[in-house]
Amino acid sequence: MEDAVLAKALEAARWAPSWANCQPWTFVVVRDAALRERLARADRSRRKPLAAAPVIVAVLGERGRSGYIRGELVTEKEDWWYLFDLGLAVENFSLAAHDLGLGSVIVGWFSAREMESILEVPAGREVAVLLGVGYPAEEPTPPRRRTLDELVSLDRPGQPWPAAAQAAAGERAIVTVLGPDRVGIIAAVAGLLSDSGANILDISETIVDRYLTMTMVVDLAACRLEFAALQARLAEGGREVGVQVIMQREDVFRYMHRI
Amino acid sequence: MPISFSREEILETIRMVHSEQLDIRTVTLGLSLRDCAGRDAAAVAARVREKVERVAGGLDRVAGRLAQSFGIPVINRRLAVTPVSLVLDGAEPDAFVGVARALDEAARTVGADFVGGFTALVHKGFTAGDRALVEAIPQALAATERVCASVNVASTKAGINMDAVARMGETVLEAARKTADRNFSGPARLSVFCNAPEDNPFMAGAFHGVGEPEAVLNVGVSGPGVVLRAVQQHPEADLGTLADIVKRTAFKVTRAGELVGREASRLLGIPFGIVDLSLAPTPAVGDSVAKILEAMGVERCGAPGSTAALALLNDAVKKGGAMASAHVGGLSGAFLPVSEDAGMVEAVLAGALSVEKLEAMTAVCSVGLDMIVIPGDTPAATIAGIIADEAAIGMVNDKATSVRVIPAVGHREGDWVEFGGLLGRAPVMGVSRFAAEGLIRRGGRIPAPLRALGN
Repeated sequence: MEDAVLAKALEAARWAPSWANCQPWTFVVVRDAALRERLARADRSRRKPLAAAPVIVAVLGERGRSGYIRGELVTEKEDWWYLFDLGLAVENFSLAAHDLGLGSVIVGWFSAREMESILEVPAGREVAVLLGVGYPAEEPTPPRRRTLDELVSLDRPGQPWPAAAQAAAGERAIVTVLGPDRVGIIAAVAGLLSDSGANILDISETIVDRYLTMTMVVDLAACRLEFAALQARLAEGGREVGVQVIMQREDVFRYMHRI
Repeated sequence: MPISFSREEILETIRMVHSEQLDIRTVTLGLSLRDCAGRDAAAVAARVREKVERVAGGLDRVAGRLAQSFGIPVINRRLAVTPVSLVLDGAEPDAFVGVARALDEAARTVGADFVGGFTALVHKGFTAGDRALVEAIPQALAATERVCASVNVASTKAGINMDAVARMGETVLEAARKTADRNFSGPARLSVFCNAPEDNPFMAGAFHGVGEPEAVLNVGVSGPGVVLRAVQQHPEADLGTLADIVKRTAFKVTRAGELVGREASRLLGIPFGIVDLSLAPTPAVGDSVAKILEAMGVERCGAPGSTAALALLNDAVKKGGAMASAHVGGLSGAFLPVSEDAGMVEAVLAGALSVEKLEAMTAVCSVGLDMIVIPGDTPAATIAGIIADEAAIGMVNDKATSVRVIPAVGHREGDWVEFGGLLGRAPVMGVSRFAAEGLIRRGGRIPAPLRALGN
């Protein structure tokens, strides 16, 4: 990874907002293989994400400035506000890194003392987080996030914000199963849906001359698969039991059949 | 929560896609290139390419994703840019060819099938740049694969620029000569317009008009197969009832376009412009406007009664579609592209459909003489005469008309010409052997028509 690319991501971090513009952050770019290995070993998180990263960026914070006005601590959050500032800088870094085609991971599960001694950090600064940075070997599916209507309310907590409900409605889909009827079709399709975390809200089914037509409304808010991945899995599962399985976003039907 | 749609409704949508060829014909991203303008042609070409690739980079991905999640195919991704004559006015023809190449490369990079906007608007006269662009058209089309050219030679307010008409007769012929070894892809990407709309998402006439915003998404829906099936299911319905059935069908088809347009607009962060309610056929069996007319009751498309049937169809599609979309625009009507419509081709072979009958039909529907293959030895002045006639229909009726004819150099009436893909194949149709030479040679402008005393 070129320094010039890394410099662009750090440049973005530099422009993060902070308490009274105190910029309580400094960064250490760790390229030395031996140092990286020691840092990775001291990482206590289970998946050891730092081990494979070609560069580790240590984000150091300084207490005593963020949250203070003229030397006096004024926020109720006490002496912790600097972590909020560092969070903003790290987010800027991560977004810029992504934009540059890099991947990054934020690691905070370690003993700061231990990391500080490895990096010989001078007194007054502490290691807040370590960022593993590199060109990603794979592009994983993003883990599910809670939907807007679970998160956002209007005017007061708990009061629904209509725009959020609308956004969540896009998470529903209609699954249609067409084909010759036989034992186990519904179980197979329902099994694939529940395995992926999709919730079946309703099923309607008719059989005419042993030809099955089944439609289901499913809620995908908690689904762990991308839409296209689930679609492919359903189509494949359908082929195995000799039926056609089609999944479409519910909006299509609302648009075409409702005024 | 209960299913809020009946099984019939769900199956209807699925049937429309799987057996009646319902699709979103095109998602067209309109893009202003005015900020790329300049005197240095190489720099303009570089800026054009950079901007198109930057703004349209996500188009293919988003269109693909929406098609998959809605279960409705999105056939084409296209670009429409500011008329290039405005971006590079004053340059030499070679410089215009350079910009065409830049557009072609950018379109390939972003996965767009076609890019429209190699365009000049000359209904009242030429600027120096317009003249150079028109001169560059045959070479620009020969040097590219995805660039579409159009020239607006007439309008209801300005009349018909007959010098431009004469020029376009020669240009069409020259474009055919230059691409005779490539299935005449030149004239297949060249439309000559009267009253060209500024927000048309369909090729070859798409361009991003001067009244348009920085960028805009326009959607063209299509569904001749769906309308055909609806008409076939009501063989006994009187024409008033039939119009109503077509309206309902057009409503549903257009809603699908509206949904895809809105979602694509949201995902790309580009404002949604219009839905174009055109019935655009494809060579696929059943996806034919001609077959709809035949299902309505004329023995063959082109038989007496065809124009009346088409008038009903065109109007009903607009009425149904207008309610389905917040903004309707573009060409919005039934297309009659001969090579792209298997039913039209059959009608031509049966001797039911001639260029003259098509011309009459274009008076009541969208666009004009489209994808018509004519003999390669047709004189330029005759092509110009055809263009002038079509422009007159557009001018007097205050509607868009265009001519996209393909003089099949080296072929005679009755030969076949293949275009490939959605452009289809068609037999060479005969044109009148009587000349328009004397009229075309006069040049000048046909004055704009009087808009009052309308009879």
